[in-house]
Amino acid sequence: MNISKWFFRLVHFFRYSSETSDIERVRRADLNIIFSINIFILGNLMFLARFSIEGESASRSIFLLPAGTLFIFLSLFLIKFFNLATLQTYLMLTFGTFIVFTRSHLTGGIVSAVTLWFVAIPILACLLLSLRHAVVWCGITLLSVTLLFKPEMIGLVKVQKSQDEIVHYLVIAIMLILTSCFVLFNEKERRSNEAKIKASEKKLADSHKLIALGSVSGSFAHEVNNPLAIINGHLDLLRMLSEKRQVNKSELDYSLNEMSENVKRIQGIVNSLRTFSTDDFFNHASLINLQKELPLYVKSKELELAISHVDMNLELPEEPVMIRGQLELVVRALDILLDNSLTEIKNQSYPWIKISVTKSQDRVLLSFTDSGTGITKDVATHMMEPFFTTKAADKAPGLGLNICQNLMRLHSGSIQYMEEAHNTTFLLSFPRHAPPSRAN
Amino acid sequence: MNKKILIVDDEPGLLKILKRLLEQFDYEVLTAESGFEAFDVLKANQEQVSFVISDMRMNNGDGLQLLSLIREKGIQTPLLLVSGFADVSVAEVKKLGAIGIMSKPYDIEKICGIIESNK
Repeated sequence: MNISKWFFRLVHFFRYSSETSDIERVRRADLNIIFSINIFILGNLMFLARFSIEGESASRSIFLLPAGTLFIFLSLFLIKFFNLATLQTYLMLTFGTFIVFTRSHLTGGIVSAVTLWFVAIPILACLLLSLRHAVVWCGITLLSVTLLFKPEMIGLVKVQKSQDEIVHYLVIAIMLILTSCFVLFNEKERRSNEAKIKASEKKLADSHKLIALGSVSGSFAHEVNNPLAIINGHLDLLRMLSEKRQVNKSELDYSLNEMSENVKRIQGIVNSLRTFSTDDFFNHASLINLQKELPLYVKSKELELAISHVDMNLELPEEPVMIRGQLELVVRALDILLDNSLTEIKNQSYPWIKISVTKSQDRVLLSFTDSGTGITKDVATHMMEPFFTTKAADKAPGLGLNICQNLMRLHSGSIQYMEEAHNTTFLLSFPRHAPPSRAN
Repeated sequence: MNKKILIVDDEPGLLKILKRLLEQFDYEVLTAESGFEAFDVLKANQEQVSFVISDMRMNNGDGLQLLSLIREKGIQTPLLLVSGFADVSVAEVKKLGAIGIMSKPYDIEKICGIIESNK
C-alpha cells in the first residue's frame, strides 16, 4: 500500500460514505474546497506576519486572528462572483507573490526570493486543476523544501536560519501539498457529481415530457373517441333497422347527417394536431397585408375580449405592410399569444393588450404586449420547448408557444420574448415583401 | 315491463344515439347530461332504474363522483362506466363499486349483454 493511497483513504474518511446523495457530495466538495482555500490563506497570513512583524513587538501578532477571519468571510463573498477554481487560483497567486516580495524586501537575499518563488510557481499549476499539474506542483514544492535544507547540493550557499524559520517553511510546504491535493480531489469529485446531477435532471425533464405526451394523447383519444362512438352508434342503428327492414328516409338522412358532422369533427381535431409540411405551406402561401388583416382579426376577437374586459389597442402604419405566408397560420400564431395573454391577465383590474406593427427595410415587426409584468427567467428559458407548461398538464399540454415558434419559422420569421420590456412582450418578425404592383 | 336504464353523458349526440339503440332492444331509457343531474334523476326514479351507464369525464360531476354519491346514499343500482380514454383499470373501478369500465366506441350488443347479466 503506497502513501498516496493512504492519503486518499484519509481524505475519504473525512468526506462522505457511499450512501451520500450526489447533491450532498457536490455541496460537501464545495465546502471542502472553501475550507482548503481558507486554510491556505490563513497559513500564508501567518507566514507573512512572521516576516512582517519579526523584531517588532510580539503583541502585534494579536491582529492575525481578526485578519484571518476577515479573509475567510471575504472569500465566501468572493465565491459568489467567481467560480471556486478561479478564485482559488487568484488568491494563491496574490498571496504567493506577496510573500515572495515581502521576504525579498526583508532579507534582501536573492536566494530566498527565488526559493519562495518556487512555491508560487506551482500555484500556477492550479490554473488547470489537473492531476498532472498537481504532481508537478508537489514535485516543485518538495524540491523547494530540499533546497532549504540542503542548498549546497546544487551549489548554493547555505543561509543561516533560525530553527523557527525552518519549521515555518516546512509547515507551509506540507500545507501547500495537502491543500492542493485536497482541492484537486474535491474539484474532480464535484465535477463528476455535477455531471451525474445534470444527467438525472435531463432524465427527469424527459420523463415530464413523456407524462405530458401521455396526457396529450389521452385528451386526443378522449376527443376523438366520442365522435367515433356516435358514428359507430348510428352504423349499429342503421344495421339493426335494415335487418328489420324498418329504415325510413328521415331516419337514414338523420343518421347520415350525424355521421358526416362527426367525421368533420374528427377531421378538425386531427388537423389541429397535424404538423405543417413545408411543401403544403409554399403551395398555399400568398401575400398578406397585415395593415388590412389585423383590424379584421381584432374585430373577430371583440366578443372574447369583451367577456374578459380586456382593452385591445392596435397600432398600424398608414401604408400596406406585406408579408408572405398563410393567413390562417398567422392568425393561429396570434390566437396562441392571445389565449396565453387572456389566461394571465384576465384577473387584473385593468387588463389590456396592444398589438403594434412596424417595418424596417427588410423586416416586418409585430409586437404583442399585454398588461402582464413579464415572465420569470426560468419559465422564459423553457417556454418555447414542446410540452413545457406552467399549468396542469390536462389543462394545457404546453404546445402553444412551440407551435407558434414553428409557425413563425415556416414564415421564415421568428418569435422572441422581450426580456427587457416593462410588460410581457413578444416580438414576431417576418420578412418584408413589396405590395403587388397595380399592373399585376 | 322491461328495465329502465339511465344513461349519462355530456355529449348530447352520443346520448341521443345510445338512447335510440337501447330502445331498439326494448329498454326504457332515461338520460342525464352530467353526474349531478344523473344523481337527481336516480334519486327520483330509484325503484324503476335498474342499470346506469355513465361517461367517466364530464364537467359537472364525473362518472366516479356519481358513483361515490350514489353508493354513499346506499343506492346499489349497477353502474357501468364508459370512457373515451380509460386511465383507470377495471379492478380500480370495481373496487369503487362499479361493474366495470368500457372504452368508447362501444359495442351495443356487449352493453346489452352486461345489462342482462346484471338483472
